[in-house]
Amino acid sequence: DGAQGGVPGSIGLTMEDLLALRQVVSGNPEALAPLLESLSSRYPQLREQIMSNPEVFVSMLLEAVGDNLQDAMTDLETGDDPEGAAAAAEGAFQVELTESDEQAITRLCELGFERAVAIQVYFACGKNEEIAANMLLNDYVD
Amino acid sequence: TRKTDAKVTKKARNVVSNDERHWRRYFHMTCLIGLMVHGYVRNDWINNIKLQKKLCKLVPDKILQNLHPEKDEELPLRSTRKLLDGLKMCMEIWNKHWKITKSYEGTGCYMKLWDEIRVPYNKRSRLTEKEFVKQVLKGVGDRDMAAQGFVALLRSCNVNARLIMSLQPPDFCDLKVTDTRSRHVSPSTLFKYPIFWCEVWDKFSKKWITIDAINLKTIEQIKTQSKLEPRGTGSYQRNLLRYVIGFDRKKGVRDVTRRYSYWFNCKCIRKRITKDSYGDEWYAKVLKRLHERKRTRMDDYEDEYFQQRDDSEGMPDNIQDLKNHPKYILEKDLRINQIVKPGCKECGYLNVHNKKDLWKVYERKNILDLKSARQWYMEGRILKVGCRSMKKVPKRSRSAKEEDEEENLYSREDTELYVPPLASEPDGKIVKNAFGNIEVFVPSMIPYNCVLIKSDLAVKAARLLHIEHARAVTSFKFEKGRSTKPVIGGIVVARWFKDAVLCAIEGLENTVEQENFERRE
Repeated sequence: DGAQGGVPGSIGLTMEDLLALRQVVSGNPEALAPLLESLSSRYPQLREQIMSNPEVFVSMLLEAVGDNLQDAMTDLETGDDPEGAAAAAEGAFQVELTESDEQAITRLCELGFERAVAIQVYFACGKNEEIAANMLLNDYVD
Repeated sequence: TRKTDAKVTKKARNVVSNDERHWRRYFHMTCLIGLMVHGYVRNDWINNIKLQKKLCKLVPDKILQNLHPEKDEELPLRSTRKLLDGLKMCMEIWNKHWKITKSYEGTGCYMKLWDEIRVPYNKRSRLTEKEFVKQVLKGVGDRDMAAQGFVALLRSCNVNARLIMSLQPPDFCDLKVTDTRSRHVSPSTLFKYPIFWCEVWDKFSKKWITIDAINLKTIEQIKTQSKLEPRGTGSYQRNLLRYVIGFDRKKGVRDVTRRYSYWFNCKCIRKRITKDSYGDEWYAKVLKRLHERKRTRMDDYEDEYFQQRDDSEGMPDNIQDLKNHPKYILEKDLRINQIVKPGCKECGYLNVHNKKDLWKVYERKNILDLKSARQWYMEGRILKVGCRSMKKVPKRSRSAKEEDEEENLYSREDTELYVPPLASEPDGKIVKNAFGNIEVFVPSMIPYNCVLIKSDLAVKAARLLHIEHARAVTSFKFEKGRSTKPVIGGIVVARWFKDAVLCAIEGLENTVEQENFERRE
């Protein structure tokens, strides 16, 4: 895992930063400059990436932008304690799970995560179990 | 001392350091991507099906007919007229529909100055697609959202409308340490010209019609000048027209700045990241990644229009704008190795010193870049037989003795590609220069049946194998004194020896590693 603590395909950004960036880009352009400034100073590798491979950065921004599940992730992120927020989110959050989704989520739960959290992260990662597991382990370990 | 002197002048000049300059350039690029993706996402939201289904109910059938006029075979202009009427009525509908126009939070999408980008931001405000649809249907939001909603309204009536956004990343040409401009500009001046507006394709005139339904409430068919180009220092402060991007309903993304900038080539270009080739490529990569549809006839018509605007922009009337102009050059600015093509004349004159002097202006395409035979050889080209030098210049040499010598310069047309002699078969003998090397400044200087192997161990490997090889001089190192040292960038060997040499290099590397390991033990 080359990117320390980062989400795959995210140029090393953590889940929180990635979500914040995506939300700002689509819904709060006023905050774009300050957020990018803060990210640039916390992730020095970003500069090189953006200068030499801007497409990768664009892809990273686009991947989950416009995803319906972003709303659910918003709920998850705003909550001060993740469990309470997750529980609240589950009520409003109804998706039909296929059998393979169900199995993947069960496996994620076995890693020691709340089911609601696992579901949301799983979908936010575009149903990629591996990435979801990575994300959960990196950001919601405790 | 000198150091403090430099410091003092720097402070007096109010110019940032080199590092800061590079950082501003980078940050400009980052913001550019962020804003571009913002426009892309909003364009996507505008296509929301639920939104379109509900919005089209706002437009009565009568107006709908106007929006889709039949082609008037006799006078196509009449069809265009009808479309314009329809658009005007839609504009009225929309202004009635939009009930509450909120003011911008901070400076909105307008440009931030360099000392403003570190301010903390409102983390709570985050609009989602759902929220956006709700607000547009209710008619509540800031002017940007109103403009985006207007595009949605037109698209709901099946009009080919695109969302136009004028991106405002911080200005990388602004290199002041502290901004001395007055910040007390009234919002009405500051936000006079819009960031978002709309364009509609007119299939009768084969041109795009511009509509700003919210800010200036205007419809225009732009011939040379647009009302939307910001004018006046107050409006200019946070709205520099540099990157105007059109996002269409099929997810096409195009740069349409040329339509809105009157002096695109002499003023606008300087403030764009595309002004050097590196930035130009970078910008093209970003656009290409976002553009999602195939090219259409409309793109051809638009390019034709842009070309026409370029041609009609004409020659700037001052020295400053002529500096580094993409199309024109002052005779005075020609470099020592540049000449005017034989038979070409100046294309205009510039009045200087209160019309006391006239300076010649040439078109850049009529200028030739000349190089010496040696310089051409460094690019892998040699002089054609019987060619004549176009110009003689004093030789640039560091020793005083040769001061009087002259150097002949030649144009590219006087040269041809250098084709190095092939290595002999089967022993792979390579033709070398007097120093026993082969010069490989560009790939075309490698003999056709040979390869260049770039490795520090290549020479050793080839010697070990006892095969024919030539050390490759790939560039020169200029040292402090007057000597120039060749840089050996590997070896050239015949193709059929390549694998053997690579194998040997690998073997040598392993041995070195082994030795290092043992030494540590």
